[in-house]
Amino acid sequence: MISNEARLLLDYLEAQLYDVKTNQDIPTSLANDEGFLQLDKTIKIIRASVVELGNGNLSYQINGKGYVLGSLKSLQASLRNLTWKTKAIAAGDFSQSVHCLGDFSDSFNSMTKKLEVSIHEIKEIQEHFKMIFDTIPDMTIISNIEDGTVIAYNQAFLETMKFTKEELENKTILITDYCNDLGEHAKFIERLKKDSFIKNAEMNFHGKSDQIITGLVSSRIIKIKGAPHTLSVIRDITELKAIEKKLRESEELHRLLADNAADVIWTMGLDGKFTYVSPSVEKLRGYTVAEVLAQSPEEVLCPSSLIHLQKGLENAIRLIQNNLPFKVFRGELEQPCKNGTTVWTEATVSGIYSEDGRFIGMLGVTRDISDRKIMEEEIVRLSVTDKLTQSYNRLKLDETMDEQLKLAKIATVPFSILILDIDHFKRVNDNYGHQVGDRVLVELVAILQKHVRSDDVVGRWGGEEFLIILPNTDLEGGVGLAEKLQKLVGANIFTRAGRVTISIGVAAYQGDLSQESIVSRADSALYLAKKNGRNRVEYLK
Amino acid sequence: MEKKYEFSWDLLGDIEAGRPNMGNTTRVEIYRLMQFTFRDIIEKHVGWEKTNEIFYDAGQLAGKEFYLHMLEKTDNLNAFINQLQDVLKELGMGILRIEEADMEKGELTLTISEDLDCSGLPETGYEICTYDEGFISALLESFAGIPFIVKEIDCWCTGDRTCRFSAKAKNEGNQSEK
Ligand SMILES: [Zn+2]
Repeated sequence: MISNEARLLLDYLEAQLYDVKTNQDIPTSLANDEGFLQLDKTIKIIRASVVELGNGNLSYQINGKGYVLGSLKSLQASLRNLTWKTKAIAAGDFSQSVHCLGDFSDSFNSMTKKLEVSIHEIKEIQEHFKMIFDTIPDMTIISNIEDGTVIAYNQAFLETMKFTKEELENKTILITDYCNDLGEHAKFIERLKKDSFIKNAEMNFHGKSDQIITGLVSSRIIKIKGAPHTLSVIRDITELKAIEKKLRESEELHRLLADNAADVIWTMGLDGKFTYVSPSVEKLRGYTVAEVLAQSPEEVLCPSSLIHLQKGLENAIRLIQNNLPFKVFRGELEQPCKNGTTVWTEATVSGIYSEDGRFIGMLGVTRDISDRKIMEEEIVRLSVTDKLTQSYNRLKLDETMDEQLKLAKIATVPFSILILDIDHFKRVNDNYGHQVGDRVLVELVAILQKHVRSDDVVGRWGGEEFLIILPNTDLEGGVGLAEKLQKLVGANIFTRAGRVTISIGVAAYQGDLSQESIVSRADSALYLAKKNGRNRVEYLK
Repeated sequence: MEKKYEFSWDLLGDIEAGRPNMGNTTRVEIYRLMQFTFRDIIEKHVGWEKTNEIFYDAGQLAGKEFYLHMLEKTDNLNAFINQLQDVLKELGMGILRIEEADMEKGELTLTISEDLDCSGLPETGYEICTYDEGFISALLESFAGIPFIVKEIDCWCTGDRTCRFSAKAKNEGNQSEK
């Protein structure tokens, strides 16, 4: 049994310790007791301090004295110190450690250690990433996908865009500021959002100067702090593009020149096969490019010209093998055409060398020289043709006779000549004029040429005198032809002049050493024919 | 006033040579015996308040010399505190802990547990660690380059389990008041 007063005191103290709300009054008998009031105050401070500490409030000011309060203050000090240490660790000071909180200290300290190692690793990774990012030789940027804000760029970006580090530092930069075509950029972002990465898309940019930079963009969406960003690597292909364009233009130009040139431009390997032939070949030879490319050398050149090609190739191979420069070849070649005719061409062939000086083939230009050939032939013809009668002139007759004299020395059958003269030609000129006389000469030549053999050579010897050389013909054959011609001419009605007769002197080769001796024999025979009444054939026995 | 002795670190003597067998440690009772007998006699001579002043100043002189000879110079507060913690613990002077530190405001709250001077003393009802106050103020001044006023707000002697000190930088206003 305890006293009533003691019961009241116990109830009061129980309420202080056990109840949530303490509306118990101090027992009246103790309300004025100095010692109890002091104790009551301490109990209330302990209660309040424990409640605050329990609620996590470390800033509660614990006032009062005594062992229990001191311990509470010590606990509060430990927790406050822990708070301070945690803040220090958060700020990067990993040297902080806790020693006064028992098992918790060890856990806390190992957590700190682990944090330190992890942060160190992250920092290392970050540094490596930064280093890699900065040393990527291509422009690399990270930008916000929505507003285009660039949050990171590397050294290559600065260099390509021609900015200095200082110019962009602490500035908000937007990727759209550097895009040449905003529509193109918008499409790119749209595609990126759909596919989440894009490889090697070509886009144009401009840096500090307005010069266009062409880039090959590869992008990927990455999340930074929860927001989608683009990580883009942009390869600067501006220079490459320029070179490509130049190359294409130059190739196009060459192709254009080759394709449109009247000359045939071709390339050929040392095996004699074409590797390229310009389309103009069709105009020249009638064959298409494809047909020509498939032709063998024998089909490309006529036999007399083929030898040039074969020799040229042999020479070229020998020179190349001995590391000597290819010798430019120029020559006239006869080439077969699709329609069976031939065409004369002039080819100029030179060597093609690669940049490092290796021989890689031959380049030829073939030009149609038919017109020139015709002209040349015409010049030759004119030089041996009598202008009025279009028969051979004295020059051709001299040449032919020299040839025949040489041949006659070894031939079994000799040659003969006829010298013929129009009888009383002066009368024709006098009666009808020179024009009619000239006409008689022309018509006479026509008769002669029509009735001599193809090998026989008819030429004007001078005035109204003609000389005919008859290869492989003895005196008898010569006389026979002469008599035939004399009769044909005599039977012919000449324009305006009517009937005209001729006298002919025949001579055959008799071991003559010169033209003069055979010609003089024929002359003598002609003289004899004139003397014997004209319109006849004579020869010397 | 006649003055013969002027403290310097050298005057602590060559302990290793002097105490080859006894070594460099003594018992805490002996340290306290000396300190509190001093306090008793000095108080008799100059009173409570003046004695506190003397102990504060002596603590400051000790702190200044301690900083010079026992700590490595650093500008970093955390590094300084860590070093101090280690040295105080190693020398058996107490366990230093920081509760708050705001060097911009020049305000710190720190506690020393198991204090060499007062932990375990019977409750006297008044703070007694004035030597520590001076000691801490000199350490902070040496580190920060500005003077600090340090006041013990909780002490074993006032019934607390730990000594808590509040340190405040003396600003110019305060200085001009002096
Ligand atoms: Zn104390």
